[in-house]
Amino acid sequence: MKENDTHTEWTDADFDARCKSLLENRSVVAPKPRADMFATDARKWSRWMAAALLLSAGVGITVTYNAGNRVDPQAIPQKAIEVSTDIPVENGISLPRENAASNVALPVEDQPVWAEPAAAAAQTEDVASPREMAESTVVQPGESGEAHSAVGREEPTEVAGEQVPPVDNHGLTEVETEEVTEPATEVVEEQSLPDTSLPTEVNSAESSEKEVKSESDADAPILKLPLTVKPGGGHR
Amino acid sequence: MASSEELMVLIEGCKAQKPAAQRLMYARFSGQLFATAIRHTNSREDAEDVLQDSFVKIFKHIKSYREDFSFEGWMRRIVVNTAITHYRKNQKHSRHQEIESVPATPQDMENKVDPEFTADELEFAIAQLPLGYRTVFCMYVIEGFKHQEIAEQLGVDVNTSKSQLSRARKYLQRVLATLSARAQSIPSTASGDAGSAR
Repeated sequence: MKENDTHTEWTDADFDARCKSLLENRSVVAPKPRADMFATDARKWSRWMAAALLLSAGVGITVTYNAGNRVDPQAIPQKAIEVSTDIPVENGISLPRENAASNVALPVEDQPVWAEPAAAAAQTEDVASPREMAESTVVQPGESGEAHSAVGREEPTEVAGEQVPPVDNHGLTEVETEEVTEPATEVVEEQSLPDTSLPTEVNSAESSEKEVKSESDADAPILKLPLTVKPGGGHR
Repeated sequence: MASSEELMVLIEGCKAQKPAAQRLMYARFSGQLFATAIRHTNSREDAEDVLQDSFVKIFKHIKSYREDFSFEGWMRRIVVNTAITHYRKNQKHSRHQEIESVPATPQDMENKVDPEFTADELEFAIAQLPLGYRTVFCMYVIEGFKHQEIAEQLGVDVNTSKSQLSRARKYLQRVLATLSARAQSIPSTASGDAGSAR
């Protein structure tokens, strides 16, 4: 039997105290910290970056939206006018320009009554006029002169009604007319129903449009109009 | 050991979320806290995870630290709580292994604890404990938890905490006594002296 001279009757308190003294300050080589443990600066910067990106994106969206909204009210009458300009692309682009130039000289008083207050009416006007324009161009492509004149006449009216700012983009007229060619037919088909009520309005609009055409053509060759001309024709 | 003033500067820097202060804090206390994590986990990998998670909590909640309490004790408690939470996530219901299931030899029962047992021997003995008993013993004896706190943390009764502490204490004494006896017998064998009679 082994004699243990170091035998000691340990009390629980003594044993606990011994254990605590040995292990309380015990240290072991610790692993390296994780990369994300101290990433406070990176996190702050990432938050700031994210906030800046969101803010810039919001500003960009707002600017784009506002720019788009500015164009939108004029889109319809512009389209109508562009239809008239688009149609005679192959035959003579210069006519709308000439008409626009001549229209510039027309006074505002000669503008149709419905120009400013009735945007919807203006749109209907636009619908009507490009219809005839499309009709003239679609049905009678050969009558380019008349089509041009009609288109050119109608453009300034709607432009004046919509108060389009003057823009010298004669060079763009050709492109626009090409682009509008196809949608013009679609618009004609879509708006075939209300045609019956429009011809009279178109007639009244045409005269005023002719007067203002010279002004508007020079100012807003960009304008595009949906073609609402009933296939088979309207009348001027 | 960092002086109290240096420690306060470190604490203030960590409260201000300064990465440099946080790195210094980790370098200063990671060794002690890692040792604590090892005592309360079953593997070194678990202990590393517990250590990392603990420091994240320390940096996150350092603003709630009250200066009237030991900062090291505060951190140690976070490590223990993190270890308990970590174990609960990976619990295999083997935690409350009864110490009685671990057989004790007659020699173990005869040997007495050498009061000069070392830290390595104590750590070895603690590692032999089932995790439940080990957690109770370390929380009470080393980290300074009360039985009420232990019971709340572990989800057991206060009496259970006390009984598990008592059993753990006796088991450790038994193991330490065995280690001591073996240690005394080895030099005698190596030196050619008469070995211990067993």
